[in-house]
Amino acid sequence: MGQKTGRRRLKGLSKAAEAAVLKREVFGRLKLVRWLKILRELARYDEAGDLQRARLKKTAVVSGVALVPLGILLAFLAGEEEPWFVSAVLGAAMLTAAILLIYCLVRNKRLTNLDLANDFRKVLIPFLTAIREDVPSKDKIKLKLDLAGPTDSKAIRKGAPTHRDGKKIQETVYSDSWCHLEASLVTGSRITLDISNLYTRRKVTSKNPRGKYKLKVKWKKLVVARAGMSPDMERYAFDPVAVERKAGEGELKLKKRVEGPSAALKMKRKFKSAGSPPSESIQPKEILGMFLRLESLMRPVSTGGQNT
Amino acid sequence: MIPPSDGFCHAMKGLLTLRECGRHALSACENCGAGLCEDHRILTGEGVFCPDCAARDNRFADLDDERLERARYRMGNRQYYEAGIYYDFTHTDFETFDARADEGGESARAEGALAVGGEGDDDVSDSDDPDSFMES
Repeated sequence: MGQKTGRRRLKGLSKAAEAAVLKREVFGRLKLVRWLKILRELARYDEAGDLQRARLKKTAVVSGVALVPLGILLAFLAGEEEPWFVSAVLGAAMLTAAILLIYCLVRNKRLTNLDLANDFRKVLIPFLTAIREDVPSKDKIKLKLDLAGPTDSKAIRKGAPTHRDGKKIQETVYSDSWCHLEASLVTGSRITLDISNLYTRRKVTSKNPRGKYKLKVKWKKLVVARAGMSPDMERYAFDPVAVERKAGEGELKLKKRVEGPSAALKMKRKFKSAGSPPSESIQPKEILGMFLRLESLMRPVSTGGQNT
Repeated sequence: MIPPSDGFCHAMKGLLTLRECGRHALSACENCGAGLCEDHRILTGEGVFCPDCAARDNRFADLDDERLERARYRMGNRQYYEAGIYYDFTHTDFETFDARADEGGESARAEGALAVGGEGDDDVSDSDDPDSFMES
């Protein structure tokens, strides 16, 4: 049933984009232009879905709020000798509001199951657009994206509830490695990009003086981006002075592999929100900055075979 | 100013690997006169401009164009590009570079650029541990 609804909802998407939405993941080796086409299609779908869910939520709230006064009025009139049609109209209105509320909740749940995490359209699409001129147009880019966001299957730690100051606190930690990218630049250097999100959801249940239970959900998000670069050994080499200086700052890792050395930089950003996971993420410009700094560690190999 | 008469596009392209376009030019920038190919001419109501000149001009601050975005990013990170390491080097460049390296000048200049370019590194030394993340 859900699948049927999903298919109807996905009408108009290309086969690749539809498969990506249903699986909530994307992987493969394609040219940059092709990747951008698919990802932009997914972004349009995701934006439309987000808007539709927002509208459904609003309608659900209005229907729920309308049910309360209608119910009170109907109960009040039940004992009175009012014309029968007043009660009938009120009852019909209540029924309509209830049906609308149920429809909105069910539809919203189905759309949520097909929703994509927003990071790919806020981070990856602008980044790929920006480096379009740096990647040879005929080369293929390897991309592996997990678009599901923090789901139960990604929970790495679900702590038992703890009690503090009359509050029950439960924390769940999710690890979401959502992006892996490998590409070649026009200089022959190879770049890799890995972005992981570490979410922490904190549920706080407290009892107020009137005896009512209140639930607050707080989210924190730690974004870790790792940018790696390995130069074309015939043209470029790492500058030992620059590498030593950066390594001393503790943020650079230099690996010596059989196929040549590679350097990697790591950047972290933290965000927090209430209710739902934070929508912010690392800026595409910050990722570009990491690659620029890696590039700045390289020097051309001189024709005489000396590395500077 | 670069004369358009040589028939090639002199617009700068790329962010990670800065270089001249080099394709055949169709027109020239009204500001700097550089030859421009079809991909790099920014058509505005004021005329045709190269991405770098259009990015510097406040009249086009609202133009939403990915070529302008790249040019603006290059302007904002000039220290990296001016270190001179993003161009494809010619043989002459190699010689100049080697001579300077002996004096230690180029290295020092690149290091200076790195120092200026370090943005938002405060969090880098943090650990991945979820506990320390929540402590913040």
